Amino acid sequence: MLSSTTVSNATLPHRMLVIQMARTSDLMQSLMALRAAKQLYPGLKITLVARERFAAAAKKVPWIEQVVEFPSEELLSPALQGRKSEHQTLNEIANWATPLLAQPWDFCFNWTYSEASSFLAALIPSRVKLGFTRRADMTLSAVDGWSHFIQGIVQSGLQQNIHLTDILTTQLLTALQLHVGDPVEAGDMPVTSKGFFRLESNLQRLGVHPREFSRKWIGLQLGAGSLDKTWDPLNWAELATYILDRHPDTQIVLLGGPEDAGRAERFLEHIEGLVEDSRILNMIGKTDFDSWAALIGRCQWVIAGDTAAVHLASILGTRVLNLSLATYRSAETGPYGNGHYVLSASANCPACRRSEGAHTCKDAISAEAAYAAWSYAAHEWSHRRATSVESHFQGLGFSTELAGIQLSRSRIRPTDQGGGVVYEPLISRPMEMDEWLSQVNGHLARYWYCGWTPTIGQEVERERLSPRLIRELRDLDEAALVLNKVCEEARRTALQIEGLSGKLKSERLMPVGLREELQSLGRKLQELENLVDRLSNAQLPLKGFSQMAKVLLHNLKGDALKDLGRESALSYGQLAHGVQVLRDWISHSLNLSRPRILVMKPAPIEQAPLEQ
Amino acid sequence: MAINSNQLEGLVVENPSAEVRDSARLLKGFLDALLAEQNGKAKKNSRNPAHPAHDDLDVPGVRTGSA
Repeated sequence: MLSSTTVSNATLPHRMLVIQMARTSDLMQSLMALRAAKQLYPGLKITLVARERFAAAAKKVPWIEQVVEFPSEELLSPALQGRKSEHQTLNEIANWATPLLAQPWDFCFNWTYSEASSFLAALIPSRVKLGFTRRADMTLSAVDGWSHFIQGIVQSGLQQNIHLTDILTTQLLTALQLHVGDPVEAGDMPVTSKGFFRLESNLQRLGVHPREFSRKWIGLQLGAGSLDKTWDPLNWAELATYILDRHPDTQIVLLGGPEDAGRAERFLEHIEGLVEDSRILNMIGKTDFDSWAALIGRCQWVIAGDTAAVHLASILGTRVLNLSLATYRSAETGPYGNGHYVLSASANCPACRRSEGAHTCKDAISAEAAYAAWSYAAHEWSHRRATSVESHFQGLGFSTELAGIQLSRSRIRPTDQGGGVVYEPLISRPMEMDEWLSQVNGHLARYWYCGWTPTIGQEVERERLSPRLIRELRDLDEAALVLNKVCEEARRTALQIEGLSGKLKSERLMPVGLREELQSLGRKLQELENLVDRLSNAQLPLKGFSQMAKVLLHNLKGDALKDLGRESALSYGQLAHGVQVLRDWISHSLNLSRPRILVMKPAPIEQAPLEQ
Repeated sequence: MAINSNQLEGLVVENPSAEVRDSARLLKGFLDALLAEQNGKAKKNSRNPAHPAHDDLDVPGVRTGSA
């Protein structure tokens, strides 16, 4: 930890380099986390590294000191096409990186979580580093707990329910509190606002007629990150028709890039003659970042799939109906804030589980379902959610659409419930193992890295525990008990290694008996590690523990056998505690599912006053 | 709490200016990994979106990063 003489408080300048070389969505979520930190630590001097083509958003944030753009195309294309030698390209990258290496940073956060960025992070001289970097032997290193969680759970595709923005924010604020000290009192200042970016855009220059400002704008972002997650243009057209027909005060704003031109064409063909042309504002391919953000900021609602528009709308405080299609995980990367809605299929399809093939789950989300979801959300102020989603759909004559969907509403939890965004399902359906496990994995991360333990099962409702889940939990409990014992045994074995190696004067020269004993303990530890793997292969809900074991054991600190023994013991201790938390969840859920015996209190017996 | 408290602090270096880094190897690793990412893109994705709304899926991020 930095000594208190190095850094004293939140208002002093601390130079922070943030490496975010991923996509616009990741950049937006990073900006939200950085905004929270800047409010609490106003002395931070933030420099952000971003790819040139995704850097526009960061350049419009006034409190970021500098945006260092990495010109991927300019530097890499000539090398890929053989027009420049590797030597020339290396020189150019070295020239690009040199200013970053000139003076040590107080903090370097690598939030890209990619192989390439880990090499860049390793080059950066910094007193404190978090995220992925490289060791002296060039192997990858995840240097902090949240990075272990990202590598072990998030990047392994396992279910968990902590939003990426919350992960980044917590990682950042925890490190600042440890190394800088307590934050300033920022009150309840919101992170998101219409003024988040300093934009230069005049919507009238885009051809927006003043009369259009009098209507309620509903933005539709037609494209998405991949074809799997893209809704058919005909669905969009039908949704727009429902909205425009039934809500005369609305205006549809079509959003998207030049590559969405074909989709827009199909959309417009389908809708032609059905609605007034003037009620469709087609901005496809006409916007740069500033005008795109200005349009989204002006919208009352944005309806979008898995696209950066969801995060931009969240930042700007525009409400979102997020169409969660295919493998999109809204719990991790959905719209951030209060009162956003996520419409998804009620169950994963085979393609979701295998990550290949056509996603039949997309068919569950029809234009009727999307319209009913939006109209429920948009009229919250009138029904105050006293009306159920089911009866709202029924009122519209769309009850049949309910079978295949789930509609969730976002809410920021109060601090005493752990904070962060949570998506609450509004249609009551039996809970499946994936959803249950995502809550457990989220709980584990908070337990391990927040220093705060949420209540076990605080968001599990008795009514949603299905007989199938209960059966699966009973089976899981047996395997979890074995895993707990294996982790405890591994911890004891590692402690024995630490104890024995602590007596050594040299790790090379030692008595034969001691060497054999250490070798035997090493073999035992290896067998226990294999056993963790086998157990998680037999019971897939335990997979998170075997993944975390690999990450933790790969990232042990120290070179001496004694240090490695101690670190291994700490890692297995962490896993054993985690498995115990899982067992507590199982026990809580099984107890919750038991039939309730109502104990009637006997009625009080009225006694006549004693006669004197 | 059950974890090793070092996990929350990150990697701490007392004197980063004096830290010995094999810059040439790290730069080479950086370039190779970037080129591998770009190569992956060339194979998988013929789309070349220019609009910031569309993420380039082949640029690794938290959900797609490889390690």
